[in-house]
Amino acid sequence: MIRISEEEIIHAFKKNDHSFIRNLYAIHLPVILRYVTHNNGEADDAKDLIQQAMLIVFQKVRNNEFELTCSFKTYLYSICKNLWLKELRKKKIENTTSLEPEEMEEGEVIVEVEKEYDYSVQYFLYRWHFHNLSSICKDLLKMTLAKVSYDEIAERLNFTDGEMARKKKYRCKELLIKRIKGDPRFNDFEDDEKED
Amino acid sequence: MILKMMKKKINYFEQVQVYLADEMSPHQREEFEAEVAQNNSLKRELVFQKKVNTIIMDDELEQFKYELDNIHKEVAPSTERKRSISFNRYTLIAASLLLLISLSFFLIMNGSGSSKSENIFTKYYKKYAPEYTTREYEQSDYESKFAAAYQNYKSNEYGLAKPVFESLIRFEPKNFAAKFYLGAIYIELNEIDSAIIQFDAVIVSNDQYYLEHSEWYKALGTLKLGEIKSAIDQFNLIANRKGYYQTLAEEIISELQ
Repeated sequence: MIRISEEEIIHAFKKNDHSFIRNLYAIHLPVILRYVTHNNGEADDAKDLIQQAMLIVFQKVRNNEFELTCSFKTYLYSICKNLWLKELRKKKIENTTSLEPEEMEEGEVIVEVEKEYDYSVQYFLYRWHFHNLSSICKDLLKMTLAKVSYDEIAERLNFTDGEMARKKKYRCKELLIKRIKGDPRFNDFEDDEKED
Repeated sequence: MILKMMKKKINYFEQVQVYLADEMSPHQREEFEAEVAQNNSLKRELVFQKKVNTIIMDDELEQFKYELDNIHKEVAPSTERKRSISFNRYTLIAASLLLLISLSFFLIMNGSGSSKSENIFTKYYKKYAPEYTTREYEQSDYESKFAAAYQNYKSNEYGLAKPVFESLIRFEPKNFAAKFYLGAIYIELNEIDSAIIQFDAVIVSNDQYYLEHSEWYKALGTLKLGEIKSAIDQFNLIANRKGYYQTLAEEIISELQ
């Protein structure tokens, strides 16, 4: 198999090269699938695992922190193994089988994934609650964060004036925060926030 | 004492909001930053709200996830199964969002929309109150408290039922039955946001018995709030699940559309 370089990965992820990413996915999914299904998991777990790993690579590239000191295959499988062990620990499953994904000819490498993994978990939780807001709230929050003035927002969203838009924005944000904090998964992040 | 603490918490929220929106005078800003330097709770709230803002503006990760889901469908169609882990739920929501996002700035709800949603809510909302057969003997303390709270809920004595369900949840935070009924009480009291928080907790837990009901009442609650697009997304999820509420969800979708 041709070895893919760090530059190629960075380029493909930055440019969102669909066919390149699709090929990576298609090549590595079967290995991850075999690995997971032989280690107390199912096909859907393999899907989550490879996608979480790809999301981590995506973030590392985006943050200019992607560095490849081995083959991409070894890099990806090391992330998957790390995440899967984490998942098994969470489910309190004692692993009795081999946890080495096959074809890791270079052995295992250590890839730091905590930061990206935590961001990704928080990201999808917060976004879920964000999407559950009304359209007006979503537009309003996005516009204010994009520094559009309240007067302009009022005009675009048919509020009587800028002050009304400002008040509505506070209500929307409050609602979002309330829903996120009311989510039982939110407590899992509390400690991380304290450390930040 | 508790009231004082609650007040303080609310103030943190407001202070952070005003600070992040850049609506403080230079002097207020200076004071706020000094307070943050020595107040860990305030600092935590600030970090949290900054992160929320970052995530609101970060569409890339969701788009990439959406793309990965499409790739997965292409390369592994046979492994696609209906499943109830929350990650999949996110994906569906994300997919719906991506279809709707470009329209969202233009499709703004108006008064007639919200009265329509109110009418549909009234037409389809029915208080959840099944007949339970309770054992008259050998009831544990929990069972008897729950049964009493349920009877009060059923007889519309929400003021009596609510604190009992709340105490059962405090005692056992994973008591999803109590959370569901607390949500149901909030709906009856027209406190829809609070109801949705309880239903969300049940949905996330994937509780086998109350999941479907929670999704249904959450979708109805969302409709009541006039958040039509979000409600449609939720009714679509319910219809696709092909469960107990499928037909009702499909009817509502067609009425809304």
